[in-house]
Amino acid sequence: MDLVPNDVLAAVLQRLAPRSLAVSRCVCRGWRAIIDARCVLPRDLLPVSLGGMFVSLALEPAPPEFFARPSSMVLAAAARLQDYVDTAEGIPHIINCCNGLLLLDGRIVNPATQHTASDDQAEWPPSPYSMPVYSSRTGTWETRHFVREGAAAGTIADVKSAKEPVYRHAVYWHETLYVHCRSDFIMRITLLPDTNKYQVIKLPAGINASVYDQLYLGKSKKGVHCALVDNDDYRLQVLFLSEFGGNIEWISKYDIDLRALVAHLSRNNCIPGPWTLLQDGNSPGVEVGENPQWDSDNDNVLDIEEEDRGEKCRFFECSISIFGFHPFKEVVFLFLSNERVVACHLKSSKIQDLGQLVVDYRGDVIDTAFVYTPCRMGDLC
Amino acid sequence: MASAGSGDEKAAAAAMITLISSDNEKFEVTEATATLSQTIRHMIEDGCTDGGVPLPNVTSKILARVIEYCKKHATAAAGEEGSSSSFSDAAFLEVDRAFLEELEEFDDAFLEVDRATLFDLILAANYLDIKGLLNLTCQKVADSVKGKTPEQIREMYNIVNDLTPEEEAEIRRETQWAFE
Repeated sequence: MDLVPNDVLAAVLQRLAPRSLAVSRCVCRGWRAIIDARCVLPRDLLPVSLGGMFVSLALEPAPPEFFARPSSMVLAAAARLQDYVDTAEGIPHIINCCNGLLLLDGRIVNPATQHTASDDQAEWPPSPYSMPVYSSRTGTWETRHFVREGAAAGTIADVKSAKEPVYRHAVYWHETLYVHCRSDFIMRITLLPDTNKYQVIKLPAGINASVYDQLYLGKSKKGVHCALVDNDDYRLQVLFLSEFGGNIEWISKYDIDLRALVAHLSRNNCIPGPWTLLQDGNSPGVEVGENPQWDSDNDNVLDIEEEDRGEKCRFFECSISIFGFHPFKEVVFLFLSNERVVACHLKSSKIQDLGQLVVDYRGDVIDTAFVYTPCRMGDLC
Repeated sequence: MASAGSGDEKAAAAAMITLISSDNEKFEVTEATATLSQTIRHMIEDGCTDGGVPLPNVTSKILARVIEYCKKHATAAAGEEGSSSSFSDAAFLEVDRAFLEELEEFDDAFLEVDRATLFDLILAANYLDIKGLLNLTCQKVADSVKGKTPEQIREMYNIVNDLTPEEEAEIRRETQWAFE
């Protein structure tokens, strides 16, 4: 055997199954060196024997039990899992088991080696990211694995520590799905057939997630927009997601001061506007106009006086939320103080007052709104 | 088909190569047999086989065994080429299967050698670069290691254990499950 060249010895050893390979490392220094250098014997060598079964109880709040033929090895494994019970928060619940590792709530445990790791430092979102996808053509769900292009948003710990936004929105535009995710990144998922890819788009560095009160992701003229409202100083920011030349970046498009609007509306609150809540297809007490179409440019433009400008509005309590984008124009619909809807023209800062929107169902408030464009063609599919 | 086959054989028979073992014994083989060795194939391509191919690393005893292997497998390779053109013919497939079985039996019998010969065959297969033979012989050695303890492996192949007790203990700890 001494005369056998290393190449040949490596060729022999490379044919060994993991268990024999691990044993062969113990034969002599020469074999160990060749195995370490030339053979695939990773440290996380996969187990090849069946230890037993962990069983979880349905009702009793007790740690999982271990079901096995008694031997020193499996007794040790079962006893060690018991050890983790003391260190982990609460009673460990096994979510999954693979290759000798147990996935507990938020941590990964190897009972055989007593290694334990929190999965908090793993990157998020993972790649590949498995998502169920529904095809309206085949009428079936299937799991597709999306591979990330570019950097992750952060670690699982980052995402866990981020505040869950009150509302999150998704946009479909040009065979791509944009999803507002927790910790305020946008997942850009390419839906073209056979292109299972996604990217993480973070908000621009200047936008501090802790400051604004609402982030609205929507589709408007020319593509994906993001509107942010800060109710401390009534500021509306609008970002445009530019994808020019394959280069994806946020462009800060508008930064609008709404203080004068808030001041104006708080003084002229009770004047009805042209829009109203329709009940059963009727508008009670209001004549249907000759031209029922909304003139989206000129209808009921607010004349905000000079006196509304300035610091006065500081005294008015108002919360602004975003109802949505106009699908074809650079207009954002805002809902103020739970009672008034306005259209804010981004380019000119012109404000159109649409009207009062007050629901009178036992003090209920409006949760979400959807800007609707009637479509009178095609089948539902 | 039959006449074309015999024509090929004639053409192959015409090209003979002389292999010379380390103890100066000469072996006449067809080019088809010799070119199972990549080393010899390259020499033929370079046109330096006139006057024989000296193989100073291979004894006549081992070279005879290697040639025996190559002859059998060269025929097998030729047989495969012949059958691929008439793949739909069930009779040919039947012949093929029988031939593969026969080849397997040949390989098994071929490996019935003592350990010294087995290693000499590995060395020759490595030197001559005969992939099939190297695979076959290496697998035989690997199979002999399977399921053995380190002590048994050392004893089998006269290997001196130069690991310190500490090193050995560490190896066992790293992959403890393999020793249980």
